[in-house]
Amino acid sequence: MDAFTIGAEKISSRLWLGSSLYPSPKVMGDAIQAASPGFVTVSLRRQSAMQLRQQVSEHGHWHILLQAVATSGSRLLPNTAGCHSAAEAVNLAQLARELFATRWIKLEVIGDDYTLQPHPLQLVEAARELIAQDFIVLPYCTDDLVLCSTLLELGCPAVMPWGAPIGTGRGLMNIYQLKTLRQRLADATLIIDAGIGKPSQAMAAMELGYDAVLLNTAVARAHDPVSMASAFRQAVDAGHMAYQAGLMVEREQAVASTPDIGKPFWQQAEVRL
Amino acid sequence: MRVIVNGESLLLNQTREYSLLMLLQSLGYLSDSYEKSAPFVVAVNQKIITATQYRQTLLQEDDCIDILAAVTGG
Repeated sequence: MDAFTIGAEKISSRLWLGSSLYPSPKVMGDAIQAASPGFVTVSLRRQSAMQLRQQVSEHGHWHILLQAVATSGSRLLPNTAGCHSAAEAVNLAQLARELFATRWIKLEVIGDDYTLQPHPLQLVEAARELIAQDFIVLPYCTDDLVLCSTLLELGCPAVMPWGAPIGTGRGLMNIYQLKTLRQRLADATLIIDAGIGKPSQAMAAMELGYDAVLLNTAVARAHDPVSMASAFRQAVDAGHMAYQAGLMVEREQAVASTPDIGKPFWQQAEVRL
Repeated sequence: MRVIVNGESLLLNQTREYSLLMLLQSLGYLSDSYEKSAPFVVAVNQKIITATQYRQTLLQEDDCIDILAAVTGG
């Protein structure tokens, strides 16, 4: 899978993967290996000393995740999942930077608990503050053009509009708007984050010219997450390759591919019913 | 003295100053030799306290201590 850069940093893959919801730590690790993602998203929560020890034990999530990330060439991308205000998100991002020793942050500020739609105003406020604090901010946002432009102008090196609400698997709900974003923000790094349910939907995002996709549930909740991770990897690869190759322009009318010249006589005979 | 640790009320029977280091040790986050059992980060009243500050951070009545560690995420 081809690498690309965000800011000055080389990202090894255009498929990014969440680390949640897998049936076991081992399956999570194997899925990460199969996907070879550019980033693996993680979070941080309150934990007791006992929970902490379980996490780092040989069969614990954290131990296996770190191994998989190291061997697949991925990076960790901490998120601010669950935050509902700029202040909460900034606090959690600071703790994430301390814990994971990275400036990268996937900025999430939720504005509606039912749809998990990002709060645009709080998101902008949090992004401004975190950029001032030298974070590399990748905001999870809606597909609103003005919001995405504002986040880029603030200094976000990429924006991550949703394809559909988190965990729904409904794919690219608003193709028109996503195309508009790609056209109007031609030089920006755009990543579809959330809502992808099938490899074909990830491929469609890449065919639109998006730079990467970030997903979790579609792989983690598959009957065979490892195979699904592999399927997504190939789909993202194929979609990006197709975009680079240049997709044909759709036409209203059928146009024969086979030349007319040199047809044998029987194809010219009148058809009798 | 009462403090809040990860949202749970905790009564400390102390007769002298009680540091964050002592709390983390008593709860099992730090070993007797002050080593972390696993990576974690601490905030007292939403302010990050780095490992070098554990000893000098003295807890006060009603302090809110959050001890966070890595979890899976999307």
